[in-house]
Amino acid sequence: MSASDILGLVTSILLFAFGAIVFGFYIYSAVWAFRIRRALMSPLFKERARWVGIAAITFALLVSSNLLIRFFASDNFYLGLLEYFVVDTAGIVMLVWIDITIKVARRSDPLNRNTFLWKQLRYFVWFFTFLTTAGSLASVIFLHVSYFNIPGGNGGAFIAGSFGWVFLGFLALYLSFKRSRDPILREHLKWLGLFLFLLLLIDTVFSQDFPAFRIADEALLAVDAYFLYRAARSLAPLSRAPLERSVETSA
Amino acid sequence: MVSTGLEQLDTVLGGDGYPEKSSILVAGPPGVGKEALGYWFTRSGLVVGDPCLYVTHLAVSEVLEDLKAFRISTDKLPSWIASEGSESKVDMNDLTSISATVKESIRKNVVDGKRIRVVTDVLSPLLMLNPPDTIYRFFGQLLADSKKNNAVFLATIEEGMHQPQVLAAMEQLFDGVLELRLYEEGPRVEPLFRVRKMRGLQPRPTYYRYEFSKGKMEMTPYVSK
Repeated sequence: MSASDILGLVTSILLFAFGAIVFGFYIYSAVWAFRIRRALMSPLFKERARWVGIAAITFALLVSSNLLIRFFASDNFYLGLLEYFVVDTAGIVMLVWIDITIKVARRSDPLNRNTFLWKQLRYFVWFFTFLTTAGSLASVIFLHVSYFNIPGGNGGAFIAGSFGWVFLGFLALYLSFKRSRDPILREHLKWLGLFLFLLLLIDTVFSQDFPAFRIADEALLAVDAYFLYRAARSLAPLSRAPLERSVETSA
Repeated sequence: MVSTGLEQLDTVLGGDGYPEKSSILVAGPPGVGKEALGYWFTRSGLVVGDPCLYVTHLAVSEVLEDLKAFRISTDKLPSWIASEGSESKVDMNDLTSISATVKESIRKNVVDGKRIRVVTDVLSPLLMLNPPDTIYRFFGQLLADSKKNNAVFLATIEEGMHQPQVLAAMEQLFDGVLELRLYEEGPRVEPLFRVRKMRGLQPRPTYYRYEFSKGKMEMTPYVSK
């Protein structure tokens, strides 16, 4: 076994280990989001929790399909197509999450302000998100461009394209964060913001096709998945203090 | 007594609902359904012919959206004081105008000293914009005036948004306090309800697990595992 083979093996093991951690965090985030959703009563808050759960599942799918492509069939057309479907779905799911969160933020704003004119802007953002999604799918189907064969080896730029409109929502969220005086919402916005920011960083800076970058990419994804987990946990404040003298305790 | 609009809640409160000329505070974190108690209270008032006033920092359209989501009929609607979509507007930066508008609306809606139901979600937003002692005095005066006009007043407050001492001080102003919370026990998250205090009712420390379904509030005593 040559030194480069050993390096390749170590890289693969590390990538799989990080991939498993990331996948686990995403699934655990989804479990928490749906658990909290079940207990919430307000339709808007239930909806937000549902989409956090769906986002976590989508990202778990994304990380699994990514690993499959990297290790087994980097130039397989159908896997490339699957990857695009998941990436574009993730973009749309993120936008739904942001859209609902801005609505929640508006309600928690004592002055009920239309932050960033989002009520009007959202139609424009949704239109261009669908346009970008359709464009990227068309490029996979007709031009056979796959995530890993974009010139320069940088598929991240392509993903950033799909997510571009989502980041307009991110700006609106940032403004909501600055305006909100609600510590519960601010906590959720903080973790959502960190998750989105690191995701953009990973997809643009660390998606170069070098082994060191690939490991850093996966390690940072693990941190990002943790941010998503914290965002799911911060959907609603949960009380853990014992209910002493307040409930009959079962034998 | 004044029905809450929810049969099981009436039972928990001793059979008939809230006391006459009372002020009720519903406290809980965002998303637990505090506003639903206000919607059902208003709905029940409209059905029996009580005049109802809904004071909100939201737009009327947003409240109507919520009513539909909770499957509460919108065939009869209350008088509104809202930030948008109502004849009387609420300006959250102007306490004097809020007070005057609410008092005027109560006077306008009350006929022959008949009971009126007032529901509001403005307490938390006002606490975010003003010092707590100002809001304490403002609400104290508003509640006293409302009672003089034979009103049953229900307000919601966001738990976790304000300092615990502010919340405790606000609770002092009200005759009844209903608490909603999300309780994490092991892998489960349970929505719990408790009557923290109620005028004329013996303290009942029992927590209930609750759920809104098919236009009802299902409540079962919660047994800690």
